[in-house]
Amino acid sequence: MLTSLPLYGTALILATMVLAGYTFFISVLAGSRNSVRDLQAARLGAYGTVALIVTTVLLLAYAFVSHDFRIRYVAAHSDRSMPTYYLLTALWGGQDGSLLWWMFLLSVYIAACVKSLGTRVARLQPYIIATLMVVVMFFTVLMTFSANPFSTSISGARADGDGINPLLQNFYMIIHPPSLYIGFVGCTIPFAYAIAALVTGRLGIEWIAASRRFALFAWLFLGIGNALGMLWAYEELGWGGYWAWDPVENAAFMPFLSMSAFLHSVMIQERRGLFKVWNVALICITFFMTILGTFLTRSGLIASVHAFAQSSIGTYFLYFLGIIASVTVSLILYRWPELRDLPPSTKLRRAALLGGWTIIGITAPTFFLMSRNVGLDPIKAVATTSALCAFSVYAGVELVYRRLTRELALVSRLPRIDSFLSREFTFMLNNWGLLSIMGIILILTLFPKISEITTGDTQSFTPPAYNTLIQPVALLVFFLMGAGTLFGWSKTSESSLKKAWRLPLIVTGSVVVLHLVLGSKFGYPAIVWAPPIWDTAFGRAMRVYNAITPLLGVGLFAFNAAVIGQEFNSLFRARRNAKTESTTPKVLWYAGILPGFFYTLTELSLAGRRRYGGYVVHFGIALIMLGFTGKSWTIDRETTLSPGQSVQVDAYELTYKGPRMEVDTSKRMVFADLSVAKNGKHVGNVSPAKFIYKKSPDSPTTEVAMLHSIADDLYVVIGNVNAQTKIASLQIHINPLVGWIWFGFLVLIMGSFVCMWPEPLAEEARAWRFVRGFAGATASIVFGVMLATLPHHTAFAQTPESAGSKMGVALDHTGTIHIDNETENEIFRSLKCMCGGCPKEPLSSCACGNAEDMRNTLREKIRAGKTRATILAEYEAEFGKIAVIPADSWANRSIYLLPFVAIAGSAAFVVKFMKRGTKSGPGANTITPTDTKDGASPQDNTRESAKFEKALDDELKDLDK
Amino acid sequence: MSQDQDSKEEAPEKPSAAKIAPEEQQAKPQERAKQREKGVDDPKRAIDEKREADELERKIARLLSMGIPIGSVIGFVVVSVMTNLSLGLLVLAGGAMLGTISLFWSSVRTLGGDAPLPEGLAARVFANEVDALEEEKRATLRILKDLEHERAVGKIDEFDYAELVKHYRANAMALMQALDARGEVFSGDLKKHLANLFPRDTLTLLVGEDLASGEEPKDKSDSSKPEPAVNEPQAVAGRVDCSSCKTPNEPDAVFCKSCGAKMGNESPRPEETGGAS
Repeated sequence: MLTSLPLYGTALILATMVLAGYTFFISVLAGSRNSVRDLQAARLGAYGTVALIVTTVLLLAYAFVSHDFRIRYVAAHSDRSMPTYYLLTALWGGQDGSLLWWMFLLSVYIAACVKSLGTRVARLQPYIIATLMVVVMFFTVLMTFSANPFSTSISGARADGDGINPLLQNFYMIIHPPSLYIGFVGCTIPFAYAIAALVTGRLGIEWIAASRRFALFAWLFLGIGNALGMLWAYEELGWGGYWAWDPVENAAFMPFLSMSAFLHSVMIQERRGLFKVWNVALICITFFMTILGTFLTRSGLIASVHAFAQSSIGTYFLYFLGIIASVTVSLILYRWPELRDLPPSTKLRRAALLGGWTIIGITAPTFFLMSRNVGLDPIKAVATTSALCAFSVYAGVELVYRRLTRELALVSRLPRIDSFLSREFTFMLNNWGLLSIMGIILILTLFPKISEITTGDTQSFTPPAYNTLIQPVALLVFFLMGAGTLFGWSKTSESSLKKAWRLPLIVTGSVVVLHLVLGSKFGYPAIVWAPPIWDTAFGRAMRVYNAITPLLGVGLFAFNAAVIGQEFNSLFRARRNAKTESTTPKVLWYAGILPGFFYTLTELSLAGRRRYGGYVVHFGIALIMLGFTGKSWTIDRETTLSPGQSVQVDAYELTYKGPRMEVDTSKRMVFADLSVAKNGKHVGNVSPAKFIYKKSPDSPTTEVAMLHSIADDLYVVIGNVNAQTKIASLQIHINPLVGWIWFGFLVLIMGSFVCMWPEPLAEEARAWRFVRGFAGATASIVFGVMLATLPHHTAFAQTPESAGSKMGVALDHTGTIHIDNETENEIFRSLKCMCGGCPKEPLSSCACGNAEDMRNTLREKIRAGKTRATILAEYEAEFGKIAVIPADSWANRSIYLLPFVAIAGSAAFVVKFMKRGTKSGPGANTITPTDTKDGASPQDNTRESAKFEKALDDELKDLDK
Repeated sequence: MSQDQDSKEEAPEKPSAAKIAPEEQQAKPQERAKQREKGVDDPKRAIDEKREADELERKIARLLSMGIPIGSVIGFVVVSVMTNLSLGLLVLAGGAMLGTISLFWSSVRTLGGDAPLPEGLAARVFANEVDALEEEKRATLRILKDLEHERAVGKIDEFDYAELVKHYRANAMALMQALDARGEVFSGDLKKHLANLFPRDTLTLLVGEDLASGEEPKDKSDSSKPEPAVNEPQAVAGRVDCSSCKTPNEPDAVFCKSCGAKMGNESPRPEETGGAS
C-alpha cells in the first residue's frame, strides 16, 4: 500500500464520493418511505462516510510526516527541516489540502449532528443527512477533478520540499484557519436543517430548535476565526492595523453578519411566529455566503493579498453556487404558502414556482446578455448578475402572490408586528442593518468586477472608503443593539418606555458632554478631522460625518453599556425581591465578581440564559466597537536613532540601546533593543527585528515588537539597521484601545458559552445544578484566561530574553512588502501598480518589482514633504485617472449612496409602522394570532379547562429547574 | 376553496405516520427456508433463537463501535511512542478504515433487512415524534416564563402582561389538551384550534387522527394511544397476526417473520392514509 500511497489516497477520495452518494440515496429513500430501517441504514452510512474522510485525512497527515515528496501537495508545502507541528498544520496550508480539511471538519460536524439527532426529528433526519451528503459529494468531485491533494508530480519524487511560507509560520496562522473553517463549515448544518424543513414542509420551530446550538456554535467560531485573523494581521503584517478589508477578510465577515441576523430573527419566529421566509432565506444566504467566500478566495476572481493560487476550481464553485441558489429558491417558492401561512394548495405552489422561475428566466438572460455586450466572460457575468436576479425574483414572487391572494380571497394567518415600539420591530431594523452592511461589503468586494463590466476597468476600494461607507450603518446597528433590549415583545407601554430609557439616555448624554469637554485633554478628542477621500463637495461632506464618529462611537458605547448594566441590575434586583434561592457559592463572589456572575447566569432558566448570555455578547460587541473607535486617535511616527538616542512619541519615550544579532539553524536575526518609559517611568523593553532566512536571503522578514496596555499598544517595527554605524530606522505606532477589541472578543465568547449552555434534562436538573454551574463558571473563565494570554504568545519566532516586559511583549513576522508607516500605507493603497504585468493591484499589496520601485519613488516624495493630495495628483498626471483608487467617477460616487439607501430603508420601515401605530396606538389591545384564527380561546370551549389551568401552573413551576 | 380541500391536495406528499411507528422486523425468505430445512418447527423456539441471534449481533455492533475507536487510539499512542508518529498515524488510519468497512457493512445489512435494528429504535423514533408536540408546549411555557420575568424586571406593565399571558396560556392549554387527549375524539373547537396551530401531517402524527380532514374516527377503540413497542409479539393495528404464533406481520407478508409459516390473505389490508391508530 505504501508504495502506491498517492493512488490509494485518490481511491479513498473516489470511494468517499461513491459512499456519500449511496448514503444520499438511502437517505432520500428513508424520507420518501418513512422507514426507520432505511433511516438507520442512512445514519450508519453517514457515520461510515465520516470514517472514510477521517482515513483520507490521516493518510495525508502520514504523507506529510513521512516526507512523501512524490505527492505534489506535500512537496509544495513542507520540507524536511519543518517541525512536526508545522507538518501537520501544512494540511490546510495550501488549496488542495484545505479543501480536504474543509471536508474533514464537515465530517466531524456530520458525526456530531447525526449523533445529536439520535431518534429525534425523524421526519427531518433523512433530508438533513441527504443535504450534508450532497455537500460532501461536491467536495469530493472538486478534489477528484481539480484539486486532488494526492496528485503526484510528473517529475517524480524530489529530495526535499519547498517548505511553508514564512508568513504562515505563526501561532495565529495555526489556529486561525481551522477556527474560521469551523465557523464556515458549521453553517452547513443549520442550512441542512432548513432544507429538510423546506422539503418536508415542517416549517415551525422544530428545525430552529433542533439547529439552534449548531447555528450558535458556527457563529461563535466565525467570530473567533475573524478575531484570530485580525490578531494575525495586527501582529504579523507590521503595518499597525488589524483589518484591511481584503476580499478574503470580507468573505469571512459576511456570513458572520447574516448569521447574526439569523440568530436574532429566529427569536421572533419562536416568540411570535413571524419571519418564516426571512429565517429560511437568511440561513440559505449564510451558507451561500460561505461558498461564495470560498469561491472568491480560490477562483482568483478578485485580487487579494492572501488569496490562493488561481485554479480551475472556481468553475466548480460557480456551478455549486448555481445549484444551491436554484434548489433553495425552488424550495422556498414551493413552500411559499406555508411560509406565508396561507392554506397550501397546488394552485398557489404552481403560481409561485412558475412566477418565480419565469422572472428568473426573463431577468437572467437579460442581465447576462447585457454583460456579454460589454465583453464579459460567462463566469463573471453569472456571478455579477446573480444578486440582481435574486432581488427581481423576490419582488416578482411577492407581486404574483399578493395578486393571487387577493383574487382567491385567501386570508393569510401570518401574524403581524403590532407596534413599532416593540422588540420584534427593532430586531427587524437591526436585521435590515446587518444585511445592509453585508450587502455593502459584498458590492464593494465585487466592485472590481462590477466596474469591469460597467466601465471596462478594474477598480477597487481602499480601507478608508470601506470605513466611510460602513460607519453610518454600523453605528445605526450599534444603537439598535442597545435600543432593542429596552423594548418588550409585541408592544411597550409609555410608562415602561420612560422607565427603561431614562438611565441610558442620562448616561449617554453625560458621557457625550464629558467627551466633548475633556476628550482632548486626555488625548481622545471627540472630533477628529481626517483628509477627505475626494477633494469634492461630496468628499468634504463625508469628511464632516467621519469627523464626529469618535464622539458617536464613545456615546453609543456608553449607551449600550448603560442598557446592559440596567438589565443586569434589574435581574439581580428581581431575584433579590423574589427571594429566589440562589445556590451560587459565596466563595465564587469573593474570588472576584466574574466567577459568581457566570455561575449565576448558568443557573438561570433556558430563556434566561439565552437572554442574559445575549446581553454579555452585546457587551463584548460594545467593547469591540470601542476598540474600533480607538483607530481615530492612532499616532504614527517614523524615526532614525543612533545607540543611546531617545525619541518621545506622545507619552512614550523610547531609548535605543543598540543592535544585536542572533543565529539559529534556519536564519539570522537582527534585533534593535529599545528601552521604553511612559510618563518618565520605565515600563519595559522592546526588540523589533529583521529575520533573514537561509532559504530566502533576499526577502528578510520584519518582526513586530509591542507593549500592550489598557489604554493603548506601543507598536514598533524596524526599518533597517546599518551594520557599520548601528543606526536603526524605526516606525512607531501608538494604537489606542486596541486591547479592548481582543477583550471584547473574550467577553463575546463567554456570552456565547452562556447561550449555548446545555439544557438540563428534567430528571437530572436539580442534582446536577451545582456541578453544571460550577463547571460553567470555571470553563468560561479558564477559556477566557487562556485566550487572553494568546496575544502575548510569541508564536514560533525567537524571543530574546531581553525583550521581556512588565506589560507583555509580542513578536512576530511580517511580509516582503515593506510599508513603513500609515502615511505610506494610505498613499500606497490609493494607487495602482501600472506595470502592466500584474492585475493593477494596489501598491500596498502588489509584490512585483515595478511596485517596489514605485514605492521607493513615492517614499522619496513623502520625505521631500509632499502632501498626499500632491503625490496622488502627480501619479494621476503620470499614469492617468485610472491609476488612482478610487477614481473620482460617477460609479464610485453612486456607491457611496449605499449606506444612505440602507438607512432610508430603515426609515421607511419606521414611517410605515408609525402610521400603523398611530391608527391602533401602541397601547392598543393586541389581538393574538390564535384569537384571530379562531375567534375564541380554547378554555371557553373546553369543559376541563380548570384541570388544564392547574396542570399548566404546575408545569410552569417546574420548567427548566 | 376551503382549507380542508387544500389540505386534501397535500395528502399524497404526506406519508402515513403508521409507517414510521412499528417498523417491520421481517426475516428474509431464505432465512425462513433455512429454518425449515433445519427442522425448526416450534414457533416459540424459533422466536427465541431469532431474538438470541439479534441480541448477539447487537452486542457485536456495540463492541465494535466502542472497540475500534478505543483500540485505534491506544494503538496510535503505543506505536507512536515505541516507533514514530508516522507509523502511529498509519495505525489510526487503519482503525478508521476498519470502522468505515464495518459501518458500511452494517448499513447495507440494515438496508437489506438482515441486521436487526437497535432494540426499541422504532419505538423511540415514534415517541420522539410525539414529543414534537411536547417541544411546542415547552416553547410556549418558556414564553410564559419569560413574560413573568419581563414583568418582574418591569419591562412590561400589568395590562400588557395579562393580555399576553391570556393568549399564550390558551395556546399552552390547547397543546396540553392535545397531549392529554391524544387519540381521543376531539371536540370541534379544539380540532379547529389545533388545526390552526400545526401543519396537517404533524397533527395527524401527534394526535393519531386526521383532524384537518374533519373526519371523526369511527370507533374510539381504534384511536387509542398508539403502542410503539415493535419488538413485542402483540397485535398492532394495521398488521396481520400470524395464525401459528400470533406475531403481527406486515399486511403484505407472504410468510410470518417469526416462525416462517405461510400467511393467509384473509386479513383486510389497512388504509394507506390515516393515522397511526
